[in-house]
Amino acid sequence: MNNKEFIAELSKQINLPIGTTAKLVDDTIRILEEHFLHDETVSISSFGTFEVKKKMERISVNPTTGKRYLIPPKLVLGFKQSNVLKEKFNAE
Amino acid sequence: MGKITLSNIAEELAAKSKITREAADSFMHAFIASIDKGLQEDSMVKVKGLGTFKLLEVSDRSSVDVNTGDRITIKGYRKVSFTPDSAMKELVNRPFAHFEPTELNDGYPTEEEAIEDTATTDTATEEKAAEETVPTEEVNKEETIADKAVEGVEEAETLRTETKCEIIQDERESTKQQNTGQRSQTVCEETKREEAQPKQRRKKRHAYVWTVILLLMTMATGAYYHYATVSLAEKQSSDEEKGQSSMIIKPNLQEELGMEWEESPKEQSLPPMEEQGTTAPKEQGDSTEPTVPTAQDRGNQALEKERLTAETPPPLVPITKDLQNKSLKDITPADTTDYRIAGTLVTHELRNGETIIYLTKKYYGDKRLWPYIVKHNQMNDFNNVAIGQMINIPILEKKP
Repeated sequence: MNNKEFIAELSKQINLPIGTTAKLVDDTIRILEEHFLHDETVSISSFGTFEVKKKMERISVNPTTGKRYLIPPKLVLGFKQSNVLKEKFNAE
Repeated sequence: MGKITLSNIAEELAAKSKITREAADSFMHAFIASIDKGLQEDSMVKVKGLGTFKLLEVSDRSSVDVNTGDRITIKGYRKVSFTPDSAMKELVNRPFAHFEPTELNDGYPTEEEAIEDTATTDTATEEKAAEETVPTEEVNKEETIADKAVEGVEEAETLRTETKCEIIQDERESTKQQNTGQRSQTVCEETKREEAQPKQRRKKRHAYVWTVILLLMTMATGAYYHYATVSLAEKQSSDEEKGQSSMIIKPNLQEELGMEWEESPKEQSLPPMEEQGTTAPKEQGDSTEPTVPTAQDRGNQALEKERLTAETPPPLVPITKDLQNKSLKDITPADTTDYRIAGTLVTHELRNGETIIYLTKKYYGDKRLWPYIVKHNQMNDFNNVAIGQMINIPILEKKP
């Protein structure tokens, strides 16, 4: 299911035209981004948790040239499914 | 740092998009439900600006029960994975975006290289002052002759590159002024750097070889010094034996020899890891092997072991030879004929870190008397003792 299909599905569920739905989705994502930027954890009880985690810097070696690189620290967005979601997909 | 829930987001959405709180709430629930539906139908949902949700199969895996230690299988399950959109990824990482992977300066320049660099720049400046190629080349040659002992072939290579650079430099200098000359110099340096990269490895290898040779040389000088002092002592003893009674010489020589014994491990410990305690038994084993017949009489196994452990370091070779001489054999305290074993003094339980040599030093104050303990305990291999082993310390009586 790509973005288009997703928005179509969503608009069908909330009985709104696709244009408005797309705007709403966009707004939602902006809000989420704002929270991620402030290092806040977004937890949706029936779905899962979005969390920004810091990956420490590390030294990596290019195996072919043998050169060593210092990979800087970075922030990554992680997602962990909630138990409700896990059970839903593993019910059978 | 706080925890945001769905209702928080709905609230913000209501404010942002100017819709009612109820509508925002239902929208958020529909949002999640759509992703859910997409996962169930397609097992993947792509939301632009956020990322991709995928339903992944996690296969069975075997593990160990932490409490019972039994093997158990953790059943496979399905897991929702999330990969952030590249836009989202960059946005989240924005605080750290200015960092970039940097190459670590692993092959830091060795001292030789540093010296070489300064040398080349020096010759370049000299060249500028003289503006003649012939004398500078001579200077270079002189340098190479002086450095040949250390640098060898590499220097010749650098000379070649230098001459190349010189040619370029001269051409430019003939046409232009000093400023351009500097520029050409930088060009030369660049070309040198290009050539220096494969050379760097060779240099490392060379440096290693040279350190090994230096080590060998120091060992050889040590051996020579050792041999010289021992032979000197021998001469003194033979001279003095002619004039004076042997009773007076003994302590003198013993002291000298003692000095040698104690010095030799220090000389040996050029690789500083070895402790004196561990090196001492080996050396003693080597040097006194020919003088102590009991050690040789023990089974072949013990001998083989001793040979394996014996590394026969070069500085000790002259001593073993000397010890076979009768004049020295008379005054070696390790000679089993000097003392007589008269019963057991005490029984010692070996503790961690203790060696037979250590015990000898502890009980007699002279570690050269170790063969008596070995003999008294009828040991096969004195290098191989266990913690807790009972060692009988013999009473030694000086023979008349």
